[in-house]
Amino acid sequence: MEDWFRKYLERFRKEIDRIFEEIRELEIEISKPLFDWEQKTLVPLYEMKRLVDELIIYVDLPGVREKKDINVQIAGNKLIIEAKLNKPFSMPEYLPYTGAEFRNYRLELSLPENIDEKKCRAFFKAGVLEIHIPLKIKKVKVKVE
Amino acid sequence: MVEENIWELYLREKPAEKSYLLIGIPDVGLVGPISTSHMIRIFKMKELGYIDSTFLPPIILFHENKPLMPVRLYSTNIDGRNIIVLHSDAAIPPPGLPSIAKFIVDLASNLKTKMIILLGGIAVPNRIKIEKPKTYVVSIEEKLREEAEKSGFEILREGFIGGAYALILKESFKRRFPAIGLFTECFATYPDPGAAASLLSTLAKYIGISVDVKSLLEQEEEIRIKLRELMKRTVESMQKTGKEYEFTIPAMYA
Repeated sequence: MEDWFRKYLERFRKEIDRIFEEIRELEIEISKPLFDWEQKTLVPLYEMKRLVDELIIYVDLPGVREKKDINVQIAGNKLIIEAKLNKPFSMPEYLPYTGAEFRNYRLELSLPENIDEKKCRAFFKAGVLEIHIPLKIKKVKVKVE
Repeated sequence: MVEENIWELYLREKPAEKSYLLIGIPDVGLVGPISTSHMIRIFKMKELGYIDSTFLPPIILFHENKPLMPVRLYSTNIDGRNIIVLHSDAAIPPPGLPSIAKFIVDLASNLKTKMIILLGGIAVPNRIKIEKPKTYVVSIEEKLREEAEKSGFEILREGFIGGAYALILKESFKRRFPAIGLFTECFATYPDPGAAASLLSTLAKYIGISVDVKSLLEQEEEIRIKLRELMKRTVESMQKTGKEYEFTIPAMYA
């Protein structure tokens, strides 16, 4: 076999492996239940909107009453949200949850590299946390001819 | 092509004729199933039977030791009004939507119901700022629309409706079967018991019954936590079902 062709096949195989790995990770993410047994934390529902120069993240935190019970942190390229429920939550009647008592929410999200962490803002109303993360965007004016 | 007879009805007994058929299928904010579930609970409605299909996920529920199918029918008489409720605990996968829409209109017609009332939400981006969400009436019949307007209900005048309820409205329109939708402003991707409470108050006024929503509002936080998984699955199912059209301005109004 020609050397260039062998290298080509090898690159092709690696690319296929990479795609399968991405799909596998996505499947794990989708099928992941919204609770963490070991940490006894709930994973909140969230929605992320990407505007041109800002990320807006809405996190549903039912059972959290006060903003002092919420901790929002940016660590490297991770956004970590932790919040304390006003009372422990359990569902003893549902088989998978039997015996589990949840006291906190925890959500970890990956962020792009160009965030402006010093200008981040967060608001909390009616059990929904809204986080605004500005993005550093280099703007270049293009002349219209 | 839509296959026929892929939804099957299992009825233990026939409900009274001229009933209102209320539909609660998972959709934005889970407003429909939260509303129907509350009605089933507070009126202690009798389980009439269920519908089944290979389109549904392979699941069966257990409640107080008893098996429950994911899509069930209930009935009762409230303040002299005969009511049938179709409640779904499972998100209907998109390939099953056209056939379930036809099936529901067939069912409404075969059971000689008075009309179909769809209970659902209409996602609004500023829901967090809305204290008391508005409920809009959507009707395929001019007469029903006029009556609703005269009685002071807010009519949805322009805009797209997408998803399962759009298909049921289209099917009712084609067959001239009376149907209305009650759609309340809600969160798109979070369970919204507050919207369900507003919707039930409008429904009560519309059909002339009394529905107590106090316990629904008291359990709001608990419901929001418990229904996160169903909401997540519903959001996955809602992709490519026409829901994305609800924020679109139709070309004829541009």
